Parts: sequence; C-alpha cells; structure tokens
Amino acid sequence: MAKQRRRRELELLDKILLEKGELIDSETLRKRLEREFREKLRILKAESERILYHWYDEPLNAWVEINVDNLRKCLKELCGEEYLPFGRRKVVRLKVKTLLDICEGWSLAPEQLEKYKVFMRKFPVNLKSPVIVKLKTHVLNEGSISLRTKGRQLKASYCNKDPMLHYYFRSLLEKLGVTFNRPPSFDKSKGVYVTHIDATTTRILQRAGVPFGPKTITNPSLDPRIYTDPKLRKYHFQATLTEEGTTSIRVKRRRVVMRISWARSIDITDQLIDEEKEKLKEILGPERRIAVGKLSEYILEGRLPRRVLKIARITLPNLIDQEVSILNKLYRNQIKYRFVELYPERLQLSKDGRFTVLWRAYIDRPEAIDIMVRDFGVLPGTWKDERLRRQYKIYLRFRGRSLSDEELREAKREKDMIPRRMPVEWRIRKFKEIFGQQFNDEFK
Amino acid sequence: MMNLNNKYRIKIGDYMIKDIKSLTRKELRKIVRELFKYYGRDEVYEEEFHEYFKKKGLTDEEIDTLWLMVLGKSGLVKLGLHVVADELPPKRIIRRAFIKLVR
Repeated sequence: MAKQRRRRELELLDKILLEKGELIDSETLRKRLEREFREKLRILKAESERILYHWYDEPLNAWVEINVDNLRKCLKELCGEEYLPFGRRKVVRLKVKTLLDICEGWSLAPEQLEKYKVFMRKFPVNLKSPVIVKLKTHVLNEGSISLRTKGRQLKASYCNKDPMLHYYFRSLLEKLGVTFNRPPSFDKSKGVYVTHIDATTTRILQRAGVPFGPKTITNPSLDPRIYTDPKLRKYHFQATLTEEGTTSIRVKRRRVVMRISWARSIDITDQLIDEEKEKLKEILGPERRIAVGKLSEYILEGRLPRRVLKIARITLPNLIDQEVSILNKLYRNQIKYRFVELYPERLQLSKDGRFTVLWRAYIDRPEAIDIMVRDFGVLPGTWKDERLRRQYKIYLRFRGRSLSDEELREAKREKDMIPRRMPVEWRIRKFKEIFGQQFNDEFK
Repeated sequence: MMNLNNKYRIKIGDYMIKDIKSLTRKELRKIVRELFKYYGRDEVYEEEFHEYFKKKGLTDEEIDTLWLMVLGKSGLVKLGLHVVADELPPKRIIRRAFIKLVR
C-alpha cells in the first residue's frame, strides 16, 4: 500500500510539474497532493458504491410514466419551451424512444430529466443500494423471474404464504417508487399469496444480478455487499431463515434439542451422462428421491457408478455455500465446534426429469442457537418469528439437563401446542391487519 | 492392531476380518464406533478416516470401499461438508468433507 501510494504521489508530482512548468516548494506540494488524493479517493469510493440504472437503460419500446408539470418545468428552464401537447393531464405514459427523441430535439442530456424528477418512479436506481440488495435476497429466496413465452418479456413474482413477508417485500418496492393498487392475490393451486413485480423493476433486478430461470440451474451468488455490510448481512439471514428456514424443537434421550436449518437445491443433470441418468431413474423409482448416503449402497452393488456420488457431494449451491462460509468465519472463535453444518440431504428427480441435490445447513449447538437467535433471528412479525420465539422460550426453560418424567411431559405438551404449519386464522388476521382489506372467502 | 497374516488383516474387538466387503452390519458399526472413539469427537474428516485405516493396514481401494459401506450400510453416520471462508469478503472458501455420528 505504501509503495503504491508513493508511486501515485510521484506520478502526480510529475503531472503537476509538467502542467505548470514551474517549481514549487515541498510544503505547497504536500498540501496539493493531499487535497487531490482526498478528492480522488472520495470520487473512487463513491463510484465503487454506485452502479446506476437510468431511465434510458430501459428498452426503447418500454413505457415510462411522466409527471407533466415537472417535464414542463424542465423544458422551460433548460430550453425556454413552455408548450407540451398533453392538455391538462398531470401524468402521461411515453415510450422511452419518444422521450429520447424529445431530449435529442432539445439538446437535453437525458440525466437532466432525472434531476427534475420528471418520472413517476425513482430514476436513476443505484444497483448497489441496500434496497436492491434486500430485494435480491427476497427474490432469490421466494421470487422467480422467467421469460414470457409470448413476447419474450421478463415476468417476475414473489410467492409466500405469510402476508407479513409480502409487506416487507412491497415496502422495499415502494422505496423504488412502485405503487400498488391491490393487495397480493391468492393462488389457490399453490396456497400462497402472490405479488407481481412490474417489468421495470424486473429489469432492474436482472441488471443487479438476479438471473432469470430456475435458480437450481442458474446457481446465483450472494451480493458482495452482504459480506461487508453487517446490516445487510443481518437482513439477508433474517429473510433467508424466514423464507427458506425451519426451526424445530424435540426431546431426544430426555433432553430438549433445538435446531435451526435452511435448505437450497442445485441441479446436477447436466453433469450426468445418459447411462447414469437411466440408472438413477431406476434406483429412485416412484418415490423420486433418495438420501445421498444411500447411494453408496447401490455403488457397492455395482448398480451405480461412483461418479454420481462424487458429483452429488461436491456440487453445492453457491448461495448456501457462501452463507455457511460467512457464518463459520464470523463465529469461528466464539464457539468450540463449527457454527453451521452443511449436509447433502437427498437427491431428487423433478417432474420435468431434472436431478437436483438438496443441501441443508444445520445449527444445533446450544451456543450457536443463542447467537443465531440473538444476532439474526427471523423477520419480526412473521409466522416464523412467532414460532421461533415460542420454541426458544421452551428451549431456554428445559435445556442443558436430563428431564424428569414430569418435565418431559410438560416439555412435550408445550412443544405440541405450537402448530407445525401456519394456521389459516393467523394468516387471515395478519392479512387484514396489514392490507386493511375486508377479507372474503376467495382468499381462504 | 495390524496383522500381517494374509488371511486376516483387520482386528476389530475380539475377531479378525478377512475381506472388507464381508463385514456384517454389526462389525461395521463396531469399526465406526472405534474410529470415533479414537478421535474423541462426533465428527471425523475424510482424510482422518483414510489416515486411520491406512495405519490399520488397509489399501486405498479397501478404504474407499469401507468409506462407502460406512456411509450407507452402517446407518450410523451422515456425510457433511465443513465450509469456511478465509476472510470476509472471501478470497478462498475452504471445504472439507466429514462424517458425523448420528446415533
């Protein structure tokens, strides 16, 4: 670092001497160098934290909503033009191409429109902003981006049973200037609420690094800011545990055991050869799933090549790999054993003939559970939050000792009182609370 | 522990084993428990597994077979992966396979 800095100083010195053609005293030079470096470092830092998505990054035939008053003000101040052919309308929809033509016609820099807040939604969008990072987390967990078969347009949605999670997701979208006229719709076939994401936000998310198509195949990675920003990291783990996680409490050998886990899948179909696929299909049978450890028995019988097990145990989803590596690194010195354990749980065959391996991360050491609940937990107000709080209360009360018969009965009774699935009444009440809508039967 | 007699090469508890594949479930479980007892914890890394049985006089091929048998037939262990970043943001993620005693 010192060498690099000295080199830059000398380069800058050369530049100054060449430009000015004069000699200056060392004190003045030092001050000038300091000033210049400070400014350059500030710009470099600001640049590295921003990647902007402008309105003109949208496709030429995309529609943008315009605030007519602000556009009029912009044209008047910058070009001296007052007439706009929009009558008394306050908001108009224009194609990006038309707006670019207007800019060209009036020799306006496209960024000027953003400064005058001409658009109804927020432009430009910083793709490295916390809002985008949080949105990415939600979309990578429970969202999907796919290509419409007709028109080849991107289509995105966020699906979850918990209305509170839709509230979190919509709050983030609202920060980007997206408005919602209706509450999430209920998909009866899947039993989940659905929030549809508009085309512009979808394109923004895609530009920010969310790939379209199945995540088991595209295998996306964590946003780099999650490594460095503790607040974003906390939100990511909270959202992931709420959306992909499970918490459980059980009694094992007269002791109360608690477990926090989450799982992600990865597609291995393309790594297998046809013969291996056929053999696997035969082994999986109608159940279409098998524990990864069980594969070894078929290998020993000669019914499956060793390569299949090797592929299954070394191919893991980037997301869970990175998440586990972060937690293990962060708490390496705080607990005796490893913080999170990662297991290839099972190999499964999907309906469309793809082989995926489900990887599960487990946290079950008492110290690790405490840290996880204290430092991360789940998103407040959600069903998982309520469940985790109740389970953790029981865990704190009975853990660390062998239970007597009476304690055992009590622990089991209290444990059984926590519903395994989100009760319909809870879901309906929460939906009413959040979206303030008269609930009717169609949502049940 | 190592017996150089060609017929019986592995000593487990009270009896000697001739061939890895002929191990019964009971014998296999005994081997697994001995392995975990030797390391004094409920997790053993793959390289530790190899090292332990190499010392017992098994060939690499036999160890590979035993590894598969332990994973499936014994029903005592679970295959896992220890993943840790060297720093944040990571330059390298270290991954080590291990087996964990589950029963």
